[in-house]
Amino acid sequence: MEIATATKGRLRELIAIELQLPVDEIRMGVSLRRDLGMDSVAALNILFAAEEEFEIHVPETELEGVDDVDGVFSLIERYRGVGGPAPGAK
Amino acid sequence: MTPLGVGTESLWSGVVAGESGIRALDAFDVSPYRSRVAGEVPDFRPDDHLGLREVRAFARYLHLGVAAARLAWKDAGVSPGQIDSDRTGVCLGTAVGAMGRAADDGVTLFQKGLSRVHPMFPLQYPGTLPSEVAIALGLHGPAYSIGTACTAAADAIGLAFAQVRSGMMDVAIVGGSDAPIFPLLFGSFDRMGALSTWDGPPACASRPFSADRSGFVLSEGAGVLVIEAEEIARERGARVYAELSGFGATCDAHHHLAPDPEGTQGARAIRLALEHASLRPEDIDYVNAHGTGTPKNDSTETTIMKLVFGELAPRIPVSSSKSMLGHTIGASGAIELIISALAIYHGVVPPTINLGEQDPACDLDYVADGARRQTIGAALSTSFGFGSRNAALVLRAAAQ
Repeated sequence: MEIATATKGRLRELIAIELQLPVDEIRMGVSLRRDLGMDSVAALNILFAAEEEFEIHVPETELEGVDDVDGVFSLIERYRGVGGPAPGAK
Repeated sequence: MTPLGVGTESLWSGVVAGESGIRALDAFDVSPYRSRVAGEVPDFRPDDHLGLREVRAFARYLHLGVAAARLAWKDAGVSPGQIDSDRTGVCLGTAVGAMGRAADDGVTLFQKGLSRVHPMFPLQYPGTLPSEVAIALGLHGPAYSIGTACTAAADAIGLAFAQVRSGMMDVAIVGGSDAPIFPLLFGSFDRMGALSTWDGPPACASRPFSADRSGFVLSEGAGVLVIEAEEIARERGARVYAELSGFGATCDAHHHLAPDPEGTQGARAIRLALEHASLRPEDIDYVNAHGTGTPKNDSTETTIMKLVFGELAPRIPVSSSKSMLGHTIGASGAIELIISALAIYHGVVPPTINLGEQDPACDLDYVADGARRQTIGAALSTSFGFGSRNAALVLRAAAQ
């Protein structure tokens, strides 16, 4: 539970950096696209930052249905511990 | 942003005191190379000047350049409404640009795959810096990037100057930035024999005009100035450091790397700048030389001074700021113009340090005995670069 809280906290910080907003505006449940202006490039950058931070690889197609902090968090959790080299790596 | 520190005060106080910003290079393993020194900007924290998003997406030269532009803009003290942001442009030089970042990203691509490369890689193109400065400062005039090697900053300043003078812009943020200290470029310059192989104290490694000079010291840095039409500066009561009054540029069309030893086109660039400024050679009281410390540059530059100034040449103080700063490549012309402007403003000729036994082919007054107090009515700053390029800028004391 504490790990999940810490992950969500850090995720909100990463989203705030990319969207150039105060972190307290990155509330759970708000629409990242409609309410906070996240476009496709910003979504890509947020995913990249999260991948670097949590040492995971998430296929970019997974971004399509994701629109809030919980959605991004779920993606990270799903791919955490999957392990193995990132696709394309040699 | 120079090896003497962040901001103009650390630059000017260091230059007047004859301090060196050159240190042993420990950013990577230099054991394969003959050169072991470099000039890095000390205590530079990109996130003091840029958002974390930009820090991560962009290369170091861009961090340095945006930081310098922010400081220059602050120093210019422009209040809202004093200038027309639609008529304020940005024109900045860089020679190396994001080459180091691109090289690193290439390694990441082949070792780990594209997913581990920052998604904004396309923004490493050569023209990013001026547009990021325009975004940071909210300026809507043209945002030009100039990539003419070691004359990049001087050319950027000269080209924007021409646009301001012709009425195309009112105000321009001008200068240059480079962060060239990475193994691929450092090692390649070293292999080419361009870098100083001095093995004594690092602070003595940059030795322009000395008989034992062996090459330049590679440095990073950024220099940015604000130039504006005189009537606008007067109207808003700006602090005027100096009047930018002449620019000249030529190409030797001689060799990819080496200057034409005859110096004909180098001299012509200076004459064009003097003509542009409506000045005669005898009006120049101080020359801030390109003075890299390579065997060919310094003797050729001395020849050029003699071609332009004739019998006056031995009496004009000529100093190399690179003796203290090393060679910041595409930033050097701007950093040296800032030093020249401050020399006029403060009435002080800055020195050349590390002049040991003088090369007989370099027989001018290089101000080797420390800074001199002297009224300077007009100063010349020269830049010479790869690709046979020559550029000259002339400054005059501002009319009171």
